[in-house]
Amino acid sequence: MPFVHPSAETYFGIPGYVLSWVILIAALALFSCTLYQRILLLRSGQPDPRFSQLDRRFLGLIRYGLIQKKQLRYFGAGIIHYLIFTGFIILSLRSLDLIIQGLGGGYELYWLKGSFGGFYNSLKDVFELLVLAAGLWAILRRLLLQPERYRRNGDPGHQSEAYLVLGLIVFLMITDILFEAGRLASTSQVSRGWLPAAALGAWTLSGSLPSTGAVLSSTVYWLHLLAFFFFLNFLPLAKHFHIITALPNVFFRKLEKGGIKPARWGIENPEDLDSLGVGRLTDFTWKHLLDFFSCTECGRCSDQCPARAVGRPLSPKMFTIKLRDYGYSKEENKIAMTGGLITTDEIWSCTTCGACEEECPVCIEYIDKMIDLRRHLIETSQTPKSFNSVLMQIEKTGNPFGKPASKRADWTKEVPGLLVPILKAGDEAEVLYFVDGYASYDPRVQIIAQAIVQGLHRSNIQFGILGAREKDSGHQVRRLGEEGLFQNLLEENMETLGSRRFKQIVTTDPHAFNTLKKDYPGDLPVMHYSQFFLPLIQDGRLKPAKALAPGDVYTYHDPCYLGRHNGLYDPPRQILKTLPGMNLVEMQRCRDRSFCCGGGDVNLWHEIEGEEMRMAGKRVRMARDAGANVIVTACLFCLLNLEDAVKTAGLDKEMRVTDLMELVVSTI
Amino acid sequence: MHIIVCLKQIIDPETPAEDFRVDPAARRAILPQDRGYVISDYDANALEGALRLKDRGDSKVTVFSLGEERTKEALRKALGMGADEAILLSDPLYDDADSFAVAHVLSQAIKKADPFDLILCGRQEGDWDAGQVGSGMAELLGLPSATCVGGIEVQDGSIIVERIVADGRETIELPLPAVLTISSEIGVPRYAPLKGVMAAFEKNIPVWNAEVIPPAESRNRMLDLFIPVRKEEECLFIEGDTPEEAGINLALRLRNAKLI
Ligand code: SF4
Ligand code: SF4
Repeated sequence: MPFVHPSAETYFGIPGYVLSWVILIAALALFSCTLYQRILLLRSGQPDPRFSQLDRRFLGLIRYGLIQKKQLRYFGAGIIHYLIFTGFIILSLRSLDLIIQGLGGGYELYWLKGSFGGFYNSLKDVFELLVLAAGLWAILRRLLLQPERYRRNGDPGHQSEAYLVLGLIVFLMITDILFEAGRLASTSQVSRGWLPAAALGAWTLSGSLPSTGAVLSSTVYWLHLLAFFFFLNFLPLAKHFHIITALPNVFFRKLEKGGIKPARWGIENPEDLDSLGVGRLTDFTWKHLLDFFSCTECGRCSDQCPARAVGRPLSPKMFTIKLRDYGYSKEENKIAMTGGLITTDEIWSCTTCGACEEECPVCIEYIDKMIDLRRHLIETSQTPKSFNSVLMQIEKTGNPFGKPASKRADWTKEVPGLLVPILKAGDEAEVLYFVDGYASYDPRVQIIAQAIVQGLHRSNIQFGILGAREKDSGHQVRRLGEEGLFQNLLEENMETLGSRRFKQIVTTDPHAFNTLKKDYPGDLPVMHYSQFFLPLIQDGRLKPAKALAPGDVYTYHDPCYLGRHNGLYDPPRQILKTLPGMNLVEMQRCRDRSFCCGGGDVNLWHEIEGEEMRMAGKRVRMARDAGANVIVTACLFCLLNLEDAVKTAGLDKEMRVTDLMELVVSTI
Repeated sequence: MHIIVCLKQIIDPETPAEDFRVDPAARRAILPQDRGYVISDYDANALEGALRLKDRGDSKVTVFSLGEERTKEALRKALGMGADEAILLSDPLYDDADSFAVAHVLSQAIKKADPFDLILCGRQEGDWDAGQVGSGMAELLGLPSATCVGGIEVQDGSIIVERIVADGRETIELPLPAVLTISSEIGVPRYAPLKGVMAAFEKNIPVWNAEVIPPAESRNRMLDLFIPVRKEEECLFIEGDTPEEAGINLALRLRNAKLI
């Protein structure tokens, strides 16, 4: 019996192709309506310049969008996603073909006939099998293995939606396979290529009447079409919108890590703004709204988030989902967003470590959003009281301790046999050592500053510090959302830096390093000390000679603002490897998956209720699991926190924490 | 409700004593140059108390201060925290005013301003610690007052306040208008975001001088001013391998010193 296309048949007196047109027009109309709503929401966002450096953007699109570089960081899920994604690309042509077939024209795309058609049909058939397998595997994986990051407890994502969509994918594959099988069984037409899936389907149907093949073919065709358009309309309703928005989202991704967006793009002076920060959904930039559309709810961000790992009330995934649902549901006038839907504890729980952003396969941003929410809290006086005194001290004295500026260089008096020059306006030095507040005043951290100046001195570098004229770099202040105070600090520091001449700025602290590099204007030539000393050690100007105590096992903890935000994973490790007798092991979470110590930014001054254990405590445990008894860091906040955690855990007899430079100087 | 807050700008109390000099002839303190000025702590609490009342309902907060031109900084900060208006009382004739003279000028100024319902000020200043201006104003204005207040509830036409007293807390009711001196228990002052403080530069802060509010004669006379000799104290850590052992060592030391 010759094959009759389902759209050429008549159903209750209505020609099949008419049905096709009705379905197509209705589905597209509905889809356009939803899309229009989404575009309206997007357009209500604030400006965000994301059209610069197009070459880098296209490259990123290929790397993260098409090759999906980040997918395989979660191997199992990555493979499934690859299969479904590739299948989606290949099969979209087939879907187009099936829709066109239904509209009553030539029943088939012209170029799917002939030899390309044969090849394509075989390819799509193979991929239908692969996607089918991947879909079933994904469903079983969710059901049986239940990876923690999808689970509902405390993280009520849209789990049922995932099943629905996976079910739809499986259904689409099966219906198309059966459609092709029915056609294969009921026709002896010229070969349409090697069709393993269809052959498999036909084989299961063999033995049934030829008419069964025709009926089946027709039924599954309509079911397939309906499922397809249902799927299309379902996309923009929740997480599967990423199928449409992920690529643009990747294209418009934030190119420079570490820096913080200005209070409002396009406004030079924050004082010109009526209000700072984000208090309503439409205060977010359009790109940040696009982020909400694009989240796939894969939970990788939350899986990596240290705040969540220690039981703080923050899950980046839920942050995005809540804001997305809020945006779609027009709840905006009913409950407050900042401090209501997103609680203040959530907002202050974030350490701005960047683990979530590093992991997110579709380049969703968190840190800038958090800071924008904080800016609003600061402006509306909803800041935790613990920050008040710190901010007031910084404002008053330029350091978080509230100590007099005149005592800022007192630590230099204790460096044996070495006079540290303080640069005055007009002075010149090869290196300007930017000490920052903690290294200037905290007795434990002063030891690091002293090690650094000893290192500089031993390498015969002509250097100087700013002494009383140096102000807090403002890194924490900016990340706390106090943009006004940050701008003040920046201006004062820029003025001081501008009146001294130097080739290089060296900092103690990755935070100061990051802010001078990313938040300050004018491309300051700034380096973290680990970067600066590495070549000096390599070319022998600084020579670690004394062997380390035998028996110690060292591990290096990557500070977030050195590693993830600035890509400096190797210099500290390379320095460590030059130390005689170094026995270095890596923790399981290292480099770009490093686990925040919990002390950077504002968290040193603020306790979050509900935290089950300190992040630093967890980190110390990770170091122990790796077999280390010495944790080396290159950030003073990490040092203070980890040292504290070692003591709190009662491990101070077995473990110790040291700073990289301290360790280097001890071997010279 | 119109709430008046009186606040004083003082030299940062964190300033080390050795940074001060005394001019014995003039019987004046010579203040160090590079220290900042701040709002006196309890006065900041008073402002916080007023702003919390404002947070709860429809109130206006006006801040008064007697001081020099730079006291505008403190007033701007108050505006940045959320006060609505600020008035500075400044004139060389107000210099060296004692608590009575300050209370006089402030109360005359408050009378001259809009009708008010409540006057708040700190329980004492962070520099001279006299703690008399609030009560003095109540006396001069003939208003009921409560000192050392740690909590305020507003009712129709009256307020219920919680006083911090030597042996606990005491709750009393006062009719309005009234004068309260506020203690730190009222709550930590909110942070004034710098943007708000900068925005306050745009606001006009009227300055009233002795022509507007005539000064009053001070009633105190300074006889002498000096910096007390600093006692050197030694801090000792009692060691011990276990907390129990440290406890025993401490007891032994105290006994040796014939303290127990
Ligand atoms: S930046 Fe770090 S702490 Fe903040 S949400 Fe992301 S992973 Fe969590
Ligand atoms: S934000 Fe990114 S990593 Fe987190 S759930 Fe969404 S897609 Fe996954």
